[in-house]
Amino acid sequence: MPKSLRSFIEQVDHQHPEELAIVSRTIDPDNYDVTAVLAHLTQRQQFPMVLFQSTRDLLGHDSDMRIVSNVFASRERIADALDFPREKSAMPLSLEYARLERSQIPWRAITRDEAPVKEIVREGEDLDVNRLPIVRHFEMDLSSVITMGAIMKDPETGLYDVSFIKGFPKGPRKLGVSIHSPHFDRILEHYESRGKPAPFVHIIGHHPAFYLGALALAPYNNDDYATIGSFLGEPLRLVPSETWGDEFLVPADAEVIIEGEIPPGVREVVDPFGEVTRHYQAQCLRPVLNVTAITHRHNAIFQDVFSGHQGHWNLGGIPKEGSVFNVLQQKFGNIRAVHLPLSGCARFACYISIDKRIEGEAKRIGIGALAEYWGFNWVVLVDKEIDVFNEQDVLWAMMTNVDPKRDIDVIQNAYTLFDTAAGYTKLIIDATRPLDRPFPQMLKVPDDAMNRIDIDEWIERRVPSQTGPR
Amino acid sequence: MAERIFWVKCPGCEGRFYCDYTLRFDVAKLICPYCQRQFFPSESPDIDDRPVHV
Repeated sequence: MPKSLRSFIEQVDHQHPEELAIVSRTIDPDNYDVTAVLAHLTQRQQFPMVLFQSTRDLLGHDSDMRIVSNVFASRERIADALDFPREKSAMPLSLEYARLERSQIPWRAITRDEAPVKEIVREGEDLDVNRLPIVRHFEMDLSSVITMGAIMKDPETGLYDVSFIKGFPKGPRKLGVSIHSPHFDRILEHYESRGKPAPFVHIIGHHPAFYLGALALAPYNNDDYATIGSFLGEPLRLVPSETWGDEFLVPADAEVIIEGEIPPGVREVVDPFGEVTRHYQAQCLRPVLNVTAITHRHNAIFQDVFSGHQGHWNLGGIPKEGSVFNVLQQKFGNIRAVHLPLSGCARFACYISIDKRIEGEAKRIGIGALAEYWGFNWVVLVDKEIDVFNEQDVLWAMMTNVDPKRDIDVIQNAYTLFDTAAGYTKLIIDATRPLDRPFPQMLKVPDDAMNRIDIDEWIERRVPSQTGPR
Repeated sequence: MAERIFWVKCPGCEGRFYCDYTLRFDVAKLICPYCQRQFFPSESPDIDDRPVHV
């Protein structure tokens, strides 16, 4: 059976049923029911995938679609999605991601009759995006917003590009589309310069490996469908679209597909929307999509990302950890691990552990990290003994090893997309032990003592996992 | 901040939200996220468009 969102939900239900939460009562996604449930769970530090079985559409009618969210909210589940051991969901998972993004598996076209996403086809007067159970996330959001992937196709090379795009309903057959992908901007520019409408497809609901593959840091003119195949571990099945036929193939095993065209030069107001930084993106002008067709499965599962929260952060962080590690390791050879912490929304902070050989080396590596990803504001370098996935360890290193006068460097007027107070200012913080002067050593229980004691055998009475004042 | 924004008060429901500074001078009608009223910034009873201090 080809991989799909359904097959993944079944996999989680079978292997880790405690990670699949079910909400059976009818919910109104346009009235924050979905995000309120997810926010409650987040407050409890619980991150199950949540399946909402009974939903209403934007018109307030009962919908035949379900909603799933929080799919990416744990690194262990992301490991499951890539058929990778979940006990290796820290740095090894990021390196596995980096390995997969360098491979491709050719896609395979199938007929309409074979394609689950063609079970229901809506066109013409039957078409209304308000009949979808689109989630409204935060109180200042302009509207309910589609948060999942989209596909465009370069008019010159014919190659498919897949990314994440926000869609704002603006009428029965119109969406505002907020494009943050440089590749999509370039494709749109190609169409607009010819005065032609740009074909555009929203894809809402697919196996998580599909979306992880869509985030691969691939060059322009990459065949993203083939890269996604690498992440799925099998050929991505495609089917002719309703609007452009064989000229634009769409994922056959998706839950919901919205097809449409972006007219050249037209811009309308969209946003605010709660973004990855946990701030709202400011209201602005963006292109619009004239919707031409919606196709979906029976009882489709409308997938959503709880933006500005853990799943959203993991989606962006894991791909960058692997790629930054590989680039720095190739150049310096002494990189132990790279982590984009959730406290920095897995975007604008980067922790790097190194086997430091000479004083001043950490700053060189920090500069290399800034060159690799323009989104970083804070790059923190620590010694190899520090676990970059343990933020308490990293902050300890900062508070004990850093001499603010010499170990913090500020780089000004360097571009970023994110609206934090740091803005165009970048910091490199060298939190490694100084090697050019006598300096105290970190405590350590000897390795042989650690190795000869099996804690599960030695402890006779169980202790609570959390002790001390909280 | 990387990009300049301004806060605006809706002349209908008095809800406050913010916009990219490119919309500051009536190039398009803003849409209030709370009541969906459309209005130009010049119609707002209260705008905070202080410049960024660096």
